[in-house]
Parts: sequence; C-alpha cells; structure tokens
Amino acid sequence: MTFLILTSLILGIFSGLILFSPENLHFLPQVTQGALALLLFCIGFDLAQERDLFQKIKGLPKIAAAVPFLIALGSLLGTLLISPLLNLRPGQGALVGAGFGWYSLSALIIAQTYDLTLAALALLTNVFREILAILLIPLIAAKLGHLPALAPGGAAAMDVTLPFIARSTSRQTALLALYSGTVLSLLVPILIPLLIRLLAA
Amino acid sequence: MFLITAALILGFSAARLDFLPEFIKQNMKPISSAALFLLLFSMGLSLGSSSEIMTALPVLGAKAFLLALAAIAGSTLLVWAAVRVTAGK
Repeated sequence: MTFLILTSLILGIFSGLILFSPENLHFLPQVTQGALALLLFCIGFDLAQERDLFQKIKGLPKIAAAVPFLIALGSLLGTLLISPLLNLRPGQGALVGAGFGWYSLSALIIAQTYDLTLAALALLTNVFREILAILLIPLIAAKLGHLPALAPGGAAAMDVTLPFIARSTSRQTALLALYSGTVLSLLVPILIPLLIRLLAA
Repeated sequence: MFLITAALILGFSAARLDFLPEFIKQNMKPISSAALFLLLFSMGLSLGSSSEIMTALPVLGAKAFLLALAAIAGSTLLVWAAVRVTAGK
C-alpha cells in the first residue's frame, strides 16, 4: 500500500515537472476536488455501516475532545525546539509549524503580512507534513494507537489524510478526525496572525 | 469545507437509505482505492507543476523537511503521552 501511495505521488510529481505546464492544468483543482469528494462519499458510506456509531463515540477516551489542542501545542513545541538548529528564531519556527499542514492558507497569510522567505518555508514545511503524514499514519496507528494517528495530518485530518486515518484506525476515530481537523483549520487563521504580531513586536 | 461535508453526508445517507445499485455497493473498496490514487496523483501533479514549490525546494527543502518532522513528532508524542497519562481515569 505504501509503495502504491508513493508511486502515485511520485508519478504525479514527475508528470507535473516534465509533461505539463501550469497552463495545461487549469482543470487540476476540479480533479483533486472530485477525487476527494468521491473518497469522502466512500468514507461516509462506510461510517453508516456502524449501526451505533454515535453511541460508540461515548466509548472514546475522555481526552479525545482535547486532541486538536494537544496537536496544536505539540506542533508549536516541536517546531519551536528545532528552530535554533536551523538558524531560525523560535517564533519563526513556531509560525511555520502553526500551518498545521494547511499549506495554502498558512503560506498566503505569511506572504501577505510578514515575509516571503518564511512564506515559502511554511509552504514547503506543510506540504512535507501532509506527505509524511500519509506515509506515517499507518505506522503510528499500529505502534502508538489510534488517537496519536490524528496528529501528523493536523488540519488535513478532515480532508486529504482522512482516508488514511479511516483505513488504519476505527470508524469512531475517523469521526474524531473530522472534529480535530475542523478545530485545527479554524485555529490556523487565528494563530498565524497572532504569532506574526508577536514576532514583529 | 462545504464539499467535504456534503460528500460525507451524501455517502452516509446513500448507505442508510440504501439507494445505490448493487454493482456499486459490491465495489466500494476498489472505487475508493481508485479515488485515493487519483487524489495522490493529482496532488503530485500540482506540486510538480508549481514553480513556487520547485524553486523553493533546493534552497529550503532540508529545513522544511526537518520542521515538518518536528511538528509531527511534537504533536504525535503529546497526544500519545496524554492518552497514556489519562488512561483509566
């Protein structure tokens, strides 16, 4: 499975590099959205197979509600701590980490209101986060448990990484991923401007 | 956001109200796998054809990779630790 995932992604990247110029790819957003919609349709269909799904949510550990906030805190701490090694101010590292995998939005806000190089770094970091998440989710789900498997995808736990979470965990965890991804997506446009204000001060 | 919610609810309703033809119901797994590979391919395509990403990659790639790993490690370990500490409570 991991092999097929990597192959699809790499084939796409090389086709994008060699075969297509962006002008010929104006249909691409629709293809991506269409594939995502079809996948989510399948996930919705699968969730409905569990007759007492909403009962089972009560069976999740109490800590489940706090998961998106722990993911936010852990992402900021991780990027903050590694910053000195990368010649970044801790706040700059945390700013990049606050994208939570949502690369388009985080890079856009940083580019418009702070710094272009950091915006490019945020774009790449959060692209890598999404790709690494796709590869690591099955491993984390198997070794560390279902709830930690929500962390790598961050905000993308509700869209691009949701299919991988659904395949490696349980139906109630997939439902929790929707909640966690939504909360993190709402935090991105709040935290990034806040961190920029702190950095500029 | 609207698309995500709508697709999920539609899929959920399709199963509960049972209005899909037998042929599709029998083949949900291959259909979702095909959609998954199409999604990954088109994600790759948009990354590979993005001049923004491809010019930044050689300069900032290593830094970005380590930052991504740090964000994943920090968040995964914090959730894991919190689940362990609160287990059984």
